Amino acid sequence: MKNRLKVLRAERDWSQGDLADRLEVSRQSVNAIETGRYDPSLPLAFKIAELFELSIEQIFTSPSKENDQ
Amino acid sequence: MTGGFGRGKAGHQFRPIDPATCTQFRPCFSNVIVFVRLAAVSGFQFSLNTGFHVTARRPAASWVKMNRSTFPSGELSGGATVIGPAYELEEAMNLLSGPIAYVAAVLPALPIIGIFVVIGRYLVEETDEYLRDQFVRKALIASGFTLSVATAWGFLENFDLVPHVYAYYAAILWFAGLGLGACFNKFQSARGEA
Repeated sequence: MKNRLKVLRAERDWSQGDLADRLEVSRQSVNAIETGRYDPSLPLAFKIAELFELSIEQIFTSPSKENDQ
Repeated sequence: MTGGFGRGKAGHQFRPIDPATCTQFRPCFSNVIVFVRLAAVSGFQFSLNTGFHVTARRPAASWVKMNRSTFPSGELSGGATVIGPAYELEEAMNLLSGPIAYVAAVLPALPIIGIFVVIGRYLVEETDEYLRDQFVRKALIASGFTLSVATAWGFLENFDLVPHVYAYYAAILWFAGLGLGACFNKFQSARGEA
C-alpha cells in the first residue's frame, strides 16, 4: 500500500530507527511499511496516524484509489 | 531391503537386563547426560532463535538484534540439537526394557518439544506484527516442507526404494525448512514484496 511515511519522517528529520522507537516496532517493520512491502494492521495504522497527528487517509493511499493517482 | 540406514534396527528388540552385570544404570546415566546436554543446547538455541531472554519477560534488544542476524546458524543449530544425541541414544535403547525404556526414550525428546513450545510462546509474545508475520511464514514453509518430504518418503519406503528413517528426523527437516523459509522471506523482500 502506497504511503507518505518516508516524506513525513524526512520532514521531522527522523531516521527509520527513530520512527521505529516511537512506534515501538522494529526498524525492519518501518522499512517494510515505507516501501509498501507490508500493510500495517489497523491498530498500527492508527498509531502511525496519531504520531503524525494526521488521519490514516492522509498517510496511506487506499488501494482502490492507487490507480487514480 | 535390509542393511540400510536404520533399517536393521526398526522395531527394537529390547534385550533383558542382566542384574549380575550391573549395567542397567549405564544407559540411564547415558540418557540423563543426553537429556541435560539437549536441555542446555536447546536453551541456548532457543534464545538464539527467538531472541527470548530467559530472565526477562521481553527479549533484550541486543538478543533480538543478534537473533535477526543469526540466519542460518539458528536453523543449523536447531537441526544439530536433534541429530547429535540421537546416535548416542541408540545404544541406550538397546540396553533398556520395560516401562523405564519408554521413559528413557521420551526423555531426550522433551527439550526438543520445549523448543517448539518456546517458539509458540515467542509467536504469542512478539509484539512486532511484521516480524511475527515473517516468522509465521517461515514456520508455514517449514511445516509444508516437512510434511511433504515425510509423506513422499513414507510412500517411497513402502516400495522399498529408500531406507527407513526414524520419525524424529522430521524435527531436523522442520528446522531445515525454517532455513528455506528465511531464504523465501529474503527473496520476497528483495523483490519488493512482503
